[in-house]
Formats: sequence, structure tokens, C-alpha cells
Amino acid sequence: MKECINDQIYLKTEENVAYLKELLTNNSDVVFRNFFIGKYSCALVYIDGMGDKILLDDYVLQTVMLRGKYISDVNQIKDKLLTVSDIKEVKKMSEGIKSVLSGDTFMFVEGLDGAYVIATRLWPARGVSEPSGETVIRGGRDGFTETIRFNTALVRRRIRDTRFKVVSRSLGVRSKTDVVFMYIDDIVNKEVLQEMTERIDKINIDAILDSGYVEQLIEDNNMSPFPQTENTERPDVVAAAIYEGRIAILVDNSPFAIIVPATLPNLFQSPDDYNQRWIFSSVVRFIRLISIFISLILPSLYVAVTSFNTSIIPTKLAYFIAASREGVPFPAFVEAIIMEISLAFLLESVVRLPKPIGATIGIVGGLIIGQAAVSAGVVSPIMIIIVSITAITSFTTPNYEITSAFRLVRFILIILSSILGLYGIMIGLILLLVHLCKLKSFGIPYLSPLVNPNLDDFKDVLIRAPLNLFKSRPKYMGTSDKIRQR
Amino acid sequence: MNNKYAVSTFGVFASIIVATVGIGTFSYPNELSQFVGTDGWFVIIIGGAVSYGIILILIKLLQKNNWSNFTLILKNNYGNFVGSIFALSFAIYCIFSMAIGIRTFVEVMRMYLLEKTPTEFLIVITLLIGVYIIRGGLDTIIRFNEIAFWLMFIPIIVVLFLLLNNSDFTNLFPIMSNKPIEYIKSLPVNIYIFKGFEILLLILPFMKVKSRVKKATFCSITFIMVFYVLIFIFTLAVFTKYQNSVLLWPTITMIKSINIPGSFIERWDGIVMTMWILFYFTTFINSFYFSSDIIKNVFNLKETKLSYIVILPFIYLAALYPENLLELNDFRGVFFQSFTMIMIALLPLITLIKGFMSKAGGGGISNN
Amino acid sequence: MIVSMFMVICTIFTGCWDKVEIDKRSFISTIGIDAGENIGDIDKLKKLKEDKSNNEIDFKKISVTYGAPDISKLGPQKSAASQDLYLTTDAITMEDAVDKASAKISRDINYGHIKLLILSDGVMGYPDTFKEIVDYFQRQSSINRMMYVVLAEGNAEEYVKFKPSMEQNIETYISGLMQNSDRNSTILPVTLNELLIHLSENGNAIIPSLKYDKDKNEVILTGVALIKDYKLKGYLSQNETSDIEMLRGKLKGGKKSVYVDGHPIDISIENVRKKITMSTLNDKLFFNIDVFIEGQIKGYYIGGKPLTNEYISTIEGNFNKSIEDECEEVIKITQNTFSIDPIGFREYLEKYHPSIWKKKKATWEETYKNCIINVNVHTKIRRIGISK
Repeated sequence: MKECINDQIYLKTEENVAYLKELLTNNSDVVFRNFFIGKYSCALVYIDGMGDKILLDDYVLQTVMLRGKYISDVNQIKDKLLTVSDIKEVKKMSEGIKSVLSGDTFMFVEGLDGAYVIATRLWPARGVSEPSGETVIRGGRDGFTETIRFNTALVRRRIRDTRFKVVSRSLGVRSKTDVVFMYIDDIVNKEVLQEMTERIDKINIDAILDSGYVEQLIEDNNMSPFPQTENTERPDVVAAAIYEGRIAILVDNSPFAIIVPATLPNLFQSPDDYNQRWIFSSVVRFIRLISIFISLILPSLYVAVTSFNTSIIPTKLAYFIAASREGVPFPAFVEAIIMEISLAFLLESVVRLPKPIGATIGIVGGLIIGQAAVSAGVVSPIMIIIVSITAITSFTTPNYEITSAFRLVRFILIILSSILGLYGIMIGLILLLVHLCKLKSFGIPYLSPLVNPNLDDFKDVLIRAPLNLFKSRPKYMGTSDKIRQR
Repeated sequence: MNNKYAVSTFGVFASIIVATVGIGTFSYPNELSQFVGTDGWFVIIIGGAVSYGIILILIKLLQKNNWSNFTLILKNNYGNFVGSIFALSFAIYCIFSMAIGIRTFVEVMRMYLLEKTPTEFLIVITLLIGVYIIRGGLDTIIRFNEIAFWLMFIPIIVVLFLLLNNSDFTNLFPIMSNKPIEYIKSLPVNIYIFKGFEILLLILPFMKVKSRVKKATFCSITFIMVFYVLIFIFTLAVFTKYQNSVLLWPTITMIKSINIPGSFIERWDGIVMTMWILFYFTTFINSFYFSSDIIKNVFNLKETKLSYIVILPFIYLAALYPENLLELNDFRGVFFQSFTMIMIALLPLITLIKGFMSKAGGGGISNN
Repeated sequence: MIVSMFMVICTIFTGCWDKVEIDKRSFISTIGIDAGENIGDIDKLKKLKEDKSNNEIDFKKISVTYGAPDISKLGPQKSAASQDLYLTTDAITMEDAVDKASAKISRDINYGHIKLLILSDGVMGYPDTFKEIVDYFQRQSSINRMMYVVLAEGNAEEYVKFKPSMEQNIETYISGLMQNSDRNSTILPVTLNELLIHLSENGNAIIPSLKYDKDKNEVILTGVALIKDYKLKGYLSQNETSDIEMLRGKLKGGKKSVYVDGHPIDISIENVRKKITMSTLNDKLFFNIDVFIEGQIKGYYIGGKPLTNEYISTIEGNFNKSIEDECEEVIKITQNTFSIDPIGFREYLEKYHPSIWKKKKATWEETYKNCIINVNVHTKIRRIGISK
């Protein structure tokens, strides 16, 4: 997989150019421009579409070709002639080639035992807009784009501290994707930082196409349905996480940032909770918790209650359910599975459909087919209610991955409840709890701060305490700097 | 896995409570009422005090032996072979108590929730889940205990509030109108309900802040005692001592009789059964892990994971041995109670005394 | 890890045993128990040998009627008028009845939602049978302990099948009546839980009694029936029932009247508290019950004396005297005719004077017959309505 590139930069421009032309044959978008600065022969190499031609024309070529005759020494070119702000000298050919492939311009000068790399990265990029998957009521409307420099800028705007570090790596043998981790030096948990750095350095893959690849290669346990890292498109979420002592990883070409380590309560928080007043946020958090619980157990509870222990529900409800299930051909368990699967089909297809059709299909699929199924007597009306409540409550979490994880768990709970009734549901929930207990994210238990509780940490889990009580950082993170507010 | 795992004070507190409060909660008012009528609460307080005494002995034993694990303590004090025998018998005691527990649990489950499911199936499922839990190691178990603590006790307190409507607290009279011999006869019930705190032999060596040991254990025993007294008082208030003596599981029947007009959940028995499952599981997995740990240390196996495979068939067979609940109760009678007392009280006491007498009692190897 | 998952999956697919679909269940809402034809020949059963197979005997000891709502008429689009399905079987015991009934009914009999138990006075005359029935209900885990128990004069089957005019079926009617005890002092609701508790104490209990008036096609509550040693001893009328309720301190609402110049003054009782005190003299027990009543004048007459403070005190005094006399009458009845203690003197002794109780425990019936009980009523009329 490793590329074999000659590392040496020749003194003669023609040799360099010839080498590059051979290396990059069959590439019609590489541009070679030979010119003279005074009496020195030079060449520019850049990629059409990725290099900023205007910068090259105005600030490099114009200057050197008009003023080049005043230069006496080769080494003065960079310091006294080139009116470009970002230029560096490289000694190795491979570095320069990598820069060219990233959009910079490689400049050879005759007689120089190195070459210059001029930063001319410019490509078509999306403008900053609100991420569609994470909308908030109150908060910034900017979101990450695919260019890593813009993303780091967005985060930097929120953290103007000298102790804020932006460390970069290059991952992927062929893709050489820029990966950047950001943290605040005197807050971060040093062990987590070291663990994460080790894991990233262990990655040896040919291409990193998206931050998802990085996430999957560094996470603790890839057999678990629960994500052990948080991902977000919002810079304010990233900044808040960094302030808590966590580390953010940005990957080029991906608008999704990874935040490490992540605990389950973290995945249930949204920036809305902090930007709004605490009473309302606490109520919203509480609603979220209840709705997740309902979405998890409602279909299995229905199956357990109707098939196994009917004495739990009020008598009138029992009669009603029994009456509405008369004539339905399938037992409750099969009904629940059918509805669960059709909900999954619907969700998947709505994501793939083009926007104008997508909305219609949602309505058609949901309402009309459901209604038709009830009228035909295939499904009982109670089931439709249950499925719609489940669907609505499962989307209250701010994080999509948790929703999918819980969907899977819900499916398993339905199966368990059809075998052992209420006991099955309890077993499923206990297994889920144990699994969550076992899970760790980079050394921090997944269920912190509910385990090893410090009373302080509870102010952010079930409710959101008033902001002036947020005096110290979360203790479970083991941060070096503990005080947030006085 | 982090080798430096340290249990927090709350972890110790929650683990002891959760490992002790188990299936006994649901049946002990019956036995107490049979012997002492309305004075069961007094018996419970005595039981709590005695348990705390035993806990102090255990703590002293651990302190004297430099907080090493239990098997090592036994081996150091009695020599390799005899120490292993004692450790093994302790493990056998754990296995017996687990078997009794599983059988009782499954029988009651069948009674209230699942009438036709075969007992073997339920036992196998319960065992497999126990296996999955203990594969996570000690830190998973402690975390599970901590969460289970909240999940168990908050609903019970809520349920007790709901019972206030139905209860008549004058049923608690007359007080102290029994012959002393009856009190003595009812003391063994305490063994059944306070048994479980020996888990601290496993956990305390890992405790982070060792100076808080006495406080944590004192708080946990007090909590358990208060909880049991409350439940007993409420069963008396809802039923009188006569019904209490007749019903096999007064606590369950008491919760079943909650009736809030107009509420969504008309009959609470399903809810209480689910809570009950959690009560049982915590007791079970703590015992399971402890016995696996002992076997691992006795036979010097590399990991706990192999030892539980050894234990599983024994539990299964022992659980299926009694014919029915009444035989199970006999099983749980004098023989098992004395076995329990020997294991958790006498053995540590003798070891401690031996340690005091022989000068070389201190040098235990600290935990691996 | 994978091995255990595999084992779990294998065991899971072996099947589900307890699953009964909800539309295959029949929710019994009422049980009526009658005496069967052969109940008089119980002695025949005593001659049966213990180790011989006795399952073939056709001995109609009791006749059980199950009433259940007809589920198919209760659908979401249909009106809530439910017609009941009835099933009557003759059997030896309750469990036998369930057994025989499941041979006749297409659905699974389910006790989880049962609301009413009707015992006929016929079956109450046989304490042995009654003990068997009580044990059955005590032993079942799935019975709803909050169901109401009533005693019916005549055949329980008719009562189960009775269609009241205001409700759809009898158990809604009876439970509604029981909940009316807030307003009407003559109704004394008894749930299965209370019944079992009382019976396990000493075999005595009180159960509300029903009567079926054939001419008017009505079922009415006629006070309570007194059970002693698992046998029906007698009845108390509605008025006597309300007095007993008052003496127990459990009265939640009711009406009593005092007559002045031929006009009744209706006093509606809102709150009752009682206090028992005891003294002994020469080995004889003297009980004093103090009853504190709060009431409201609901009915007077126009043109009568205006209700001033002194006049109300006079009314209160009259009221006290009349209630005291009534109550002492009722207590004498319970002492002499029935020897049953529904008011709770026994519990009082046991709870607050355990030493005396220990002495008197064996001869309680005699003692109760001979003890002197004094009733003192203290009424306070709090409100008189909105007009003078």
C-alpha cells in the first residue's frame, strides 16, 4: 500500500518537473507552469480545480515576473519577493507532492536545494448552514462543513484560550486525510488523551472517507449497539464538550465531529437544554427520559399484557382490548413484529427517497396504509396507536444513533416478552442494564455519572440545575482543572 | 480492564444492601407473625444489631490480614490444604443459598406470573443471565448494584405510600405480649433475611477510602433494618397478625391489594413481581461472583470465567432437588441456618482469634 | 460470550407455554354459589376411603354460576351494552366447578377481573362447605382480593342473571351500590380481603345481604347477614346496620331523623368518630363507647320554630338520646341473639389490655354476653343549609 516516492529535490528545475510529470502521468488536471524569475528558471505545479488560480496569478506570477529582475540571490525569493502570506520551504519531494495533491502549489526554483509550497487551497465548498439533523430552538445556526480548516475556525471562535490545542495527524495511506484533535490542555483527562492518541496512531488503513471510519476504528466495543463516541455537526456542542474536558476529533471531508469519551447521559443532551432556562430544560429532560422508556417497552408490554397477564390493566381496558382484537387473525406477538418491521421499512425508505416524494410517502404509508389495515381487520386499532406512540417517543432523543440502538433493543424485548411475558421484559431490561454497565468509553464507565455518583454530578443528568450551581466540572471525567465557576 | 479498580463508599453501601435484601423480603412477615405476632419489628432490630456485630468481626479480620482476599486469608491462617477446604465449604454454602434462592424465586414466579412454564427452563434462563452478568467482572457488578439500589428502593417507597389508605396501624398492638421463648424461636428468621452481607469480604479489599468502612457498613445495616421493619409494620397494618400467619407471601399479597380508583394500573401484582425480579437478581449475582472468585483462588485458575462453569451444574441440580416449596422450607431449616451461622460468623471469628494468638497472622499477600 | 448467546437462543426457541391470547380468554366478572341438590348428604362423603379413586362421583354439592361479559359486543365502534354470558355447573368443590366449566366453555377462564361474589343463604347453612369455599378463595393467587362479597336470599343464579334497569349487569350495579356507602349508611361494603381477614381471626364476619323482589323486579340491599363460626346466624335490618357502622366508627354518610311536632328533622351525618374505654368491676367488664357525630340539618319544615343556637342544642340532645337507645338495642341483639361482636370489643381488648385478654380469651362468648355496654353519643350539628 505504501507509495514509493523519490524524496530528493533536484537542483535543476527541469529534472524536478520531469520527475513529477512521470509520477503524475495520465492526470489531465495537473498544471505545470515554467517561468523565469530574473535568470532563475522556476516551475509551478498545482492541480486545476483545487489551486487558487487568482492567488497564483496576482500574487505569485505577477510579482515575480514583473519584479524578478531585482533579485540577486535565490534565497531571497521567498523572503523578499513573493508577496504570499503562507509559504513554506520543504526539503522532501514527498511532502511537496502531498501538498500538491491537497491543493497547494509546489514551486521549484533553480539552484535551491529545496522547494517552496504555497498555500493555495481553494475548492468548491458548501456554505455554513444549520445542520438538518440537529436543529435547536435557541442557539447558533452554524454547522460544520467538509473543509477541516473552516471547522477548526468555527470551534476556535468559541475557545480563545492559549491552552486550547489543535493537534493534527494524517490518516489513511492513500487518502492522507487530515485528522485534527482539539482539547484544552489543562482541563483534559491526560489518560484519556493518551489512550486516544495511541488508538489513532494504530490505524493503518488505506482510506478514511468519513469520520465514521475513524469512530469505528477507535471505539472500545464494536459488538455493542450503543455508540461509545458522540458525533455532532454543531460547533457549539463541540466547544461545550471541550470545556468539559473531552476531546474532539475532526476529520477532513466530513462535517461530523467525533467527541470522545461519551457517556449515555451525554447522548441525551442537546444544546437547547443549556441555552434555555432551567425549569423548562429540566421538564424537557424528564420528558425525554420517560419517552425513551416508553418507546422501549410499550410494544413488548402490550404483547405481555394481552397474552400473559391480563390482570394488570383496568377491567374496562381489558374488555376493550379483547373486543378490538376479535377477528384479528394474528396473535399479538406477530402483530407487534409486523408493525415493528413495517415501521423500519418506512423509516428506511423515507430517508432514501428524494425530498418532494419523501414527505408524501410518510403520510401515505403512515396514515392510509395503517387505516386500511385496521379496516381490513388485519391489525387491531390498539396496535396502530401503540406503534405511533412508539415512533413518536423514539425520536425525542437528540442523537440518531441512540434511536437506532434502542430500536434494536425494542425488537429483542418484543421477542422476549412473547416467550416469558412480564418476566421476559424484565430479563431484557436487566440484560440491557448490565450491558450498559459493562460498557466503557475510553476508560470512563458508560453510565457515569449514575454509577459512582457524586452528588454534584447529578445536577446535569435527570434535570438541569440552574446555571449558577454549575460550579465544578463533571467529576467522573477526572479532569485536571476542576472549577468552572465561582 | 483497569486493574486499579476501586469501589467507592456508595458502592459498598449499595452492594451490601442489595446483596442482603432479596427474596426473604417477601415471605418473612409470615414467619415472624407466626411466632411473635405483632412484635416482629423488635426481633428484626435484634437481628440487625447481631448482624452489625458479625460485620465488625469480618472487618477486623480483613484489617488484621491486610485486606487480602478471603481465600488467601484462610490459606494463610490454616495452611494451604485446610484453608482450601474451608474456602471450598464457604463456596458450597454460597452454592446452597443460591440454589434455594433460585428455586424459591422460580416457584413464586410460576405462582403469580407464568403458570405453565417448566421450572427447569426458568432456572436455566436465570442462570444464563447470571453468567452474562458476572463475565463483566467485579466493576460491572458493583455498577449494577449501584443502579439496582435506586431502581429497587424508590418504587418500594412509593408503593408503601400508596398503601397508607388501606392500612390500620392499630393492628400493631398489643406490644410485647409474648413469652420470651417465642422471641428466641423467631430469631432464626433473621438469619434468612440478613444473610448476604458476607459479600463485603469480597468488596472491602477493593474499597477506595478504607477509613470509611465502619460508616458505610453501619449505614447499610441500618438501612436494611429500617426497611425490613417498615415492611413488617405495613403488612401488619394491612392484614392483621392472623392473616399474616396464614399467607405465604404477605408482602406480595399486600401490594396486590392496593386499589387506587381511577388509576391506570388497576392491579399492582405485575408491577411488584417485576420489582421482585430485581431484588432476587442482585442477591444472586453477588453470591455467584463471590463463589466463582473463591473457586478461582482455591484452584489458582487464571480467570474467574472458568470457575463459574464449574459451579453452574451444581446450582442447577441442587435447585431441582426439593420436590416442592414445603420441602424447600425444610431444606432451609435448621441445617442450613446453622451452616450459615458457622460460615459467616464462626469461621471468621475463629480465624480472627487464631490470628491474634499466632504472631504471624498479619502478612497476607495483597490482592492481585 | 458467543456460546452463551447461542445457548440462550436455543432455549428460547423451545416455545412459549403461558401464552393465551386475550380474545381467547373469558373474563369472569361474577361468581354465584348455590347449594347443590346433594348438599344435605355430606355424611356420605365422610364414608369415602382416602386411598380409593373418587373422581367419578357425581355429587352435586354446590352449583356455581359464572357470569362474564360478552366481549364481541364491546367493540370500539359498537355501543357499550354488554350482554352477559352465563354458565352454571354443578360440582363438588370450586375447583371442580372450574374443571367442569372449562369443558363447556370455549375460552380460558380467567379470574383476574372478577368483581363480585354472591353467596346464597342456602350454601351458608353448611359450615363445612363454606370452609372449603373460603379456603379456595384464600389459596388462589389470581383472584382479585378487592372484589365485593354479598349474601343473597334465595338462589344466587337468579341474582347473577338479573338485569338491573340502570346498569348493564349486576356487578356494576352492586359495586355502584357499594360505592354509594359514602352517602347511605345502611350499606356496608365488604371486600374479599376484609372477609378473609375477619374469618381467619375467629370465624365470624358480616356480609351485606341482598333480596330479590320479584313483583317489582328489583334487587335491594337489606342490611347485613351475620356469620358465626362459618355459619349463617341471622340478619340485621338496614337501620341496625347503620347503627353498627356508626359504632364501628366507619360510617361515612347517612341520615337519621328526629321528630318534632310530628315533623321529621333530617340530620345528615358527615363524620363519625368512636372511642372505646373499658373498666372492670368484680370480674365483669364495662365498656363505654363514645361516639362523636358531626352532622348537617337537611330537612326541616316551613313555619317551624326558627333554628337558633339553643334550639339546635335541644335537637342535638334529643338526637343523642334517640341514637343511644337505638344503639344499645342493637348491641343487646348482637349480644344475646347472635353472640357476635361486630363492633370490635375483642380487638380492643386484645390490643390495649392484653393481660385481661389472655384471661378472657377462652370464654369470650360468655363474657361478651354478660358485659355491660354503654353508648354515649355526642352530636354536633355543624351546618343547617342556606336558609334559616
